[in-house]
Amino acid sequence: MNQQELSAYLSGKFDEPVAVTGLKQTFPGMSRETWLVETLRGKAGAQHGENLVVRVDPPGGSIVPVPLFFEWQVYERLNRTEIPVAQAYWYDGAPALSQGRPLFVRAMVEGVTYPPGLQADTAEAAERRKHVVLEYVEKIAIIHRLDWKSYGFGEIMPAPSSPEDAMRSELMRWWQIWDEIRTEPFPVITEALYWFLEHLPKRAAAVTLCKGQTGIGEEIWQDDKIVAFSDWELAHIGDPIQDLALSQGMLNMWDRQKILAHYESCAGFSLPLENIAYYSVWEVFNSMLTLNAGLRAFLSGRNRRLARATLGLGKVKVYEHLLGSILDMDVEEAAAFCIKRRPNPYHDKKVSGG
Amino acid sequence: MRPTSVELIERIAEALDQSVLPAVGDDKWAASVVRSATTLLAHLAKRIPLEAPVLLADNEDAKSVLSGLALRLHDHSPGDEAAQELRSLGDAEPIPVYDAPALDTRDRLYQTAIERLLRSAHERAWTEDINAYVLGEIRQYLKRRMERERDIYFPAFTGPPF
Repeated sequence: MNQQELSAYLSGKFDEPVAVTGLKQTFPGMSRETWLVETLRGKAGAQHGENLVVRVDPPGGSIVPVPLFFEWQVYERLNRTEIPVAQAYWYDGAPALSQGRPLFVRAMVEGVTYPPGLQADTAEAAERRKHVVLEYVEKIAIIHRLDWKSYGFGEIMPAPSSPEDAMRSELMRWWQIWDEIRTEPFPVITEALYWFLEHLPKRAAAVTLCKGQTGIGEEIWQDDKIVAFSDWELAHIGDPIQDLALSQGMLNMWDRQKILAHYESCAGFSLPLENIAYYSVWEVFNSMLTLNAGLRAFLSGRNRRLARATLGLGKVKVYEHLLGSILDMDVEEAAAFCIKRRPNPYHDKKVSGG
Repeated sequence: MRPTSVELIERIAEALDQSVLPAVGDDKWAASVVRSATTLLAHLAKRIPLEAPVLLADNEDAKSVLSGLALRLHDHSPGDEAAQELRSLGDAEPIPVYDAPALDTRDRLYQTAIERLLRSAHERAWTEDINAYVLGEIRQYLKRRMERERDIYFPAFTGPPF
């Protein structure tokens, strides 16, 4: 992104002079480009600094098969609630600044996505992990307690008709997306989808707003407190246990039963714990789908980033084989198998505690 | 011909890893490109010698499974459309082992047919016995397929993602 062009663009949008004084793209930015922008706004003599985040679709589109406009719509609604998120300013569908690729601009919230030292093998770090995970479940419970209907989330997301319908709705929604975006036939995955259908949990804990992509690496932390939830492209209405199960190791930070008991006291409903195992396997399929979706732009030449091939071909094969291995297993066996063998496709940071 | 294709690939990967990667320093983006390149080269080093023979063996296995299922479905119901489609796939001319692209195209046809059979069996298109037989045969075939192709993808893609 060009600094001068960005200054001109922001000046136009804010209707006042904006000088971009610092510009950096975060790494790795596989789903979308995230640009951290330092600015001075206002006329000379009355300027103030403001840091912004510009989120842009990469060439060929995101690997996440969900439009950027959707994420903007989620932020816009979240900004009306008490859930801590950055202030979202605007969405632009086809600006020349980004060669016609959609973008949206939000305020930057200071903090870190990986609290440093959390994975150290010390008593102090272990105590920190306990407080961090309790902070996490308290904050995620705020999301799950939200009256999503009154804030209009039902206008932009399908909602299951009941807790009993939530898992089937989720499965069928993503099955349809998979059939649309996959790069070739995958009969092993077809078998796996029928496995999910056969092993659906009986009911969700509740029907709530879910973040969809959460845990260490996804939120903004200051002094071990969440100051903003970030990355809402996979937000949906469904089973809140999915957020906990897919929280990238958060449940391993301390005593799992105590973590979940604390969550239940914050959320105000009990958790069918057997659902956690199901979602641990579901995550493998969901990750595989996203990575294969990203391969499409590589195959067409619209995005030539080599990582799209290592992920969209290579990691997809690893996940395909993983799912192919669980077809004769029950849910608990399959979950244990997947948790042990499944690599995080985006980073190799150990969260800690297992 | 020396160096062979695989030897060249392995040396290129080595050069990237040992000479280029250390030189990129703190540039995460450049380092990521190099790591992705070496991962893909490790995959290619296996894929180049294995792709065609694996596809040939898998195509023959898939053809045999599909032909067997065609017979079974025909016996159950002589006018069965799935059986007729499978028979025509089984009658296709063989492809020589040196023609990897053609083998790949044939592979996609077979995998598409296999997927359709899976869906039909799960959706109970036939009797309980036939559905179970179809699923059993295909599941065994898929296990063989995964075993056959394993070395092309593992361990090349089990390391850091990029």
